[in-house]
Amino acid sequence: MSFRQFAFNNVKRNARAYFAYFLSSSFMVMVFFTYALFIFHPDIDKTEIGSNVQMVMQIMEYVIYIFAFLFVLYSIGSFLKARNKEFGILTILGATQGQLSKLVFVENMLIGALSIITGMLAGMLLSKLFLTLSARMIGIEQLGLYFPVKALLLTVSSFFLLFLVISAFTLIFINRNRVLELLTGSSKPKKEPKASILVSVLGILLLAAGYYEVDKSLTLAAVTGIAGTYFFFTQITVLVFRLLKKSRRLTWRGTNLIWISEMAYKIKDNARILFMVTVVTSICCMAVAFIMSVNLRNQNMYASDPYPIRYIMNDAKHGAGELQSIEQKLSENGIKYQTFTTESYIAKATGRKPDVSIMPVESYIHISQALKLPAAGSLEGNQAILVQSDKEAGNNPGWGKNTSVKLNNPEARLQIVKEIRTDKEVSPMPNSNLLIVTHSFFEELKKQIPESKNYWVMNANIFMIPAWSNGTVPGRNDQEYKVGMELDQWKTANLLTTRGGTYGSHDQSTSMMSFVGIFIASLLSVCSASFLYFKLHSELRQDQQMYTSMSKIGMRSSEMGTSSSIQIAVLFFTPIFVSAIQTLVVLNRVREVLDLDDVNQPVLIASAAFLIIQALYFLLVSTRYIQKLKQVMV
Amino acid sequence: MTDILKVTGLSKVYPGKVTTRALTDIGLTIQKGEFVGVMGPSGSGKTTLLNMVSTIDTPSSGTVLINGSNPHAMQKKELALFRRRELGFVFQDFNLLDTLTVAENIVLPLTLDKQNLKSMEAKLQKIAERLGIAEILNKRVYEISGGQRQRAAIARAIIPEPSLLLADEPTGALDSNSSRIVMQTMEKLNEVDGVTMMLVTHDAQAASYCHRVVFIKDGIISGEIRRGDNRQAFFQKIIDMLSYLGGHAHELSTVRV
Repeated sequence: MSFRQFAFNNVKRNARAYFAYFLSSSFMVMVFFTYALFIFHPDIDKTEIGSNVQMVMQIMEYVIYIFAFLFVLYSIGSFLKARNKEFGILTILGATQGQLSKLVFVENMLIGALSIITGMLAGMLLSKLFLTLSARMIGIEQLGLYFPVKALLLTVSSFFLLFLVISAFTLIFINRNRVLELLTGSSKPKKEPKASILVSVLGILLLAAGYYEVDKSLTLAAVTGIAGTYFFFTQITVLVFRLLKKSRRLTWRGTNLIWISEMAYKIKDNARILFMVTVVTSICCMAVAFIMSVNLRNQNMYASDPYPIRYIMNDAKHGAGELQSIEQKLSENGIKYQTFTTESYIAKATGRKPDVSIMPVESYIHISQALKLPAAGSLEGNQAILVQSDKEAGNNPGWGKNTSVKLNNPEARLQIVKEIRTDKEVSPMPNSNLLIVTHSFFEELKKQIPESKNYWVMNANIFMIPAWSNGTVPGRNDQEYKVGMELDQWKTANLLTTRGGTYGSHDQSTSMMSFVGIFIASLLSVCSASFLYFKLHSELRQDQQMYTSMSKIGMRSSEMGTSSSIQIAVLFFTPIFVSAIQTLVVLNRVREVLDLDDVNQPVLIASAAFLIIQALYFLLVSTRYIQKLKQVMV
Repeated sequence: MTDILKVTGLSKVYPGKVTTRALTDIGLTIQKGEFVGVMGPSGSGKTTLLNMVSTIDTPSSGTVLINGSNPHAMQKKELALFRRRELGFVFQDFNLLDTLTVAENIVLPLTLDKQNLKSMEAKLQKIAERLGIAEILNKRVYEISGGQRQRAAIARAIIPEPSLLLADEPTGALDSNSSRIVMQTMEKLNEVDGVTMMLVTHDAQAASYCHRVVFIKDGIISGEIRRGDNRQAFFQKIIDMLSYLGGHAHELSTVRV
C-alpha cells in the first residue's frame, strides 16, 4: 500500500464522516459556478436589469468565497481534532511530522478535488434550468445555453486555491505533543466552563447598543449586534446553565441531570458554532424578510394608488407636447381613457411631518367624480376639508374635524370643518395630505407664493383608465405593467409616473433580490447544518463511551434518546429562535426608516421557513446520531 | 438463607470461523449477605461470567437467576430497569461522569427513576458518610483521588439498594493504599449493611477480603476455597491455589487492562 493509497483509503473508509462536509463543499462550488455562469453570460449586459443582477451576483461571489473559506477551514479543523488518536498511533509507529502533514494534505486535496468536480458537474447539468429560471424570475429574455469556459476556469482556480491554502494552513493544527497525550490517555478532563458576570453584562449592553444604533448606522449596529451575540453564546448561555444546575428540584429528575450538565460543559465548545450559525441564519432571515416586506409594501402601494397615470406639470413649455405623446401612446395601444386636471400647491403646516397639498374645491370635484368620493359641500372663508386615507390618518394623528391648521410661507390659518376618509391615497401629489379650500382663498394664497418658489404650484394631469383596475396586482404580461414600464423609461421634462411602471420596476428588483437571495440562503442553511453535523460527529466517540457505561448501570435506550435529542435540539434550534427574535427586533426598528408597511408577518413567514428546514435537518441528523449511540447500549 | 444469585449449567459459545468455548457448564450460587470472589488467569472466562450475570451478555445455554427472576427472559427495556434496581456495578475505570459532581454521580440512578428529591438527599448523605466521602460531595470527579473515585462509584452502585453488587477489578487502577481502603469499605458494607457482593479480580490481596473465592480456568470452575478467621492465611491459600492452577503467582497479580 503506497502512501497515496493509504490517504485514499482513509477518505474512502471515513466516507460517512466526510459526507456532509463533501456535500456542502460541492454545493458551494455549484452555487459559485452557477453565479459565474450568469455573470459571464454573453447576453447578460444587454438589458439594464441584467447588468444589475450581474453586479449583485459579483458581490455575492465574494460572500460565498469568504464563507466557503471559513467553512472549509473550520470543518477540517474539527476533523483533525476528532482524529487525534489515529495520529497518535501513527506517531508511535514512527511516522514523522512531515509524513503526517503529507497525509493530511493529500486527504484534504482529495476531498477538495472531488467537491470541485462534483459541484461543477452538478452546476453544468443544472445550468439550463438555472438560466431559464433566472431569466423568468428577473423578467428578462431567455438566456441561451453556452459553453462557460470563463466560469469553469474561475470556479476551478478559485476553489483549487482555497483548498490548497487551507490544507497548507491546517498543518498547524496537528500538534505532536498533544496527540501523544491523547493517545496515552493522560489528558486531563476539561474544566467546567466559567462565565464572567462582567462580560455577560457587556454582552447585554452591546446587544442593547446594537438595537439602539440600528436606525442610525447600520454598520455600527451590525458590529455591536454581532459582538453581543458572540457574548450571548459564550457567556450568557453558560450562566443560564449554571443557574439551572443550582436547582436540584429541576436537575435531579429523570435525564435532566445528564443533559443539563453535559450541555453546561459543551455549551462553551459549541458557543462558537452556535454564534456562527446564528449570525448566518439572522442575515438570511433578515434578507428574506426584508425582501418580502419590500414586496408587500410594493403591492400595498399599488393597491392604494387610484391613478393609473399622472403627469405633473410645472414646465408648461414642454407640457403640451409631452401630454400629446402620452395620449398618442395610449391610443396606439387601443386604451380608452378619461383625463382631468387638478391644481394645487405644496405647503408645510406647523406640527405636521408630511407635506400638505392645498387644492381649490373646483379641482376636488373632478377627483370626487372620478373616484366616486363624497362631495365637498359648501365652504367659505378659511374653512377647509381634510381628505386622507385611513393609513395616513394612522401615521399622522392629531388632525380631524374642528382642528385649526397653521400654514407656513405663505402664512395662513385654516379651520378644518369636515374630514373625508378614503381607502386610497387620493392626493395627486405623492405622500401629501389633501386640504380643500375655496377657490378665492386658494387664489389669494397662490398670489403670496414668492416668485422664486413658483414650482410649488403644480397641475396634475390625471389619466383614468377603466380597463386597468387595481384590485389585484398586474402580472408581467398585463397591459398596465407593460405600458407602464415603457412610459416610465421616457425622459420627460415634467414628472410622469405610472402605477404599473412603479409597481413593475419594484417588482423586478425584488424578484432579482429574491432570486439571488434564495440561492445564498439555501447555501448558508445547508452549510450551517453541516457545521452542526461535524460538531456532533466529533463528539460521537466520547458520547458513545459515556452512554455505554450509563447503559451498564441501567440507563434505558429511551432515556438515552431523550437526553441526546434534547442536546441536539438545543444546538439546532437555539440559533433559529435567536435569529427570529433578532430579525423581528431589527426590522421593526428600521420599518419606518425604510418606509415598510408590515414586517411582522414576513419575518414570521421567513423564520417559520427556516424552522421547518432546520427541523428536517434535525430529524435527519438526530435519528442517525441516536442510531449510532443505540449500537453501544448493552 | 435465600439464594441471591443462582447460576446453573451456564455455557457460552462464541460462534465464528473458529468456535470459541468461553464457559462450560458453570454452576455458582451466592446467598444473601455473601461476599464471593471469582479469580482466574486472563482468558479464563471470568469476565464472560460476569457479563452473563450482569445481563450485558446472553448465555448460550443454562440459566441465571437473580433474586428468583431470570433477566435473560426479559425485554431490553425491562432489562435496563432490572439492572438499575437489582444490580449494582463497580468498574475498574470507575465510569463516573466528568461533567457531574460526586454527589450528582451518586444520585444519578435515583434521578433516572424520578425519585423524590428529599429522599434522594437523605440517602446520599447516609451513604456518603458510610463511605467516608461526605466532604468531597461537591467536588468534580477529576479533583479527587482514585480511591475516592472508586468509593464514589461504590456509593452510586449501592444507592438504589440492589440485591447484588458486582465488582469488576475494582482495585485494578488503584495503588496499594487506595486498594486497601476500597476493599475495607466493601468488607464493611458487606458486614454492616449485609450487601451481597460478587468480586471478579486478578488481585489476590483484594480477593482475600471475600468469604470464599471461586477459581475459573479455561471456562470451567476448577476450585473453591473458603476463608477462615485469618485474612493473611486466606491470602496465602489463594496464592497457593493460583500456583496450583498452573499460573505463576507473580503474573496473576498484574493489572488486567
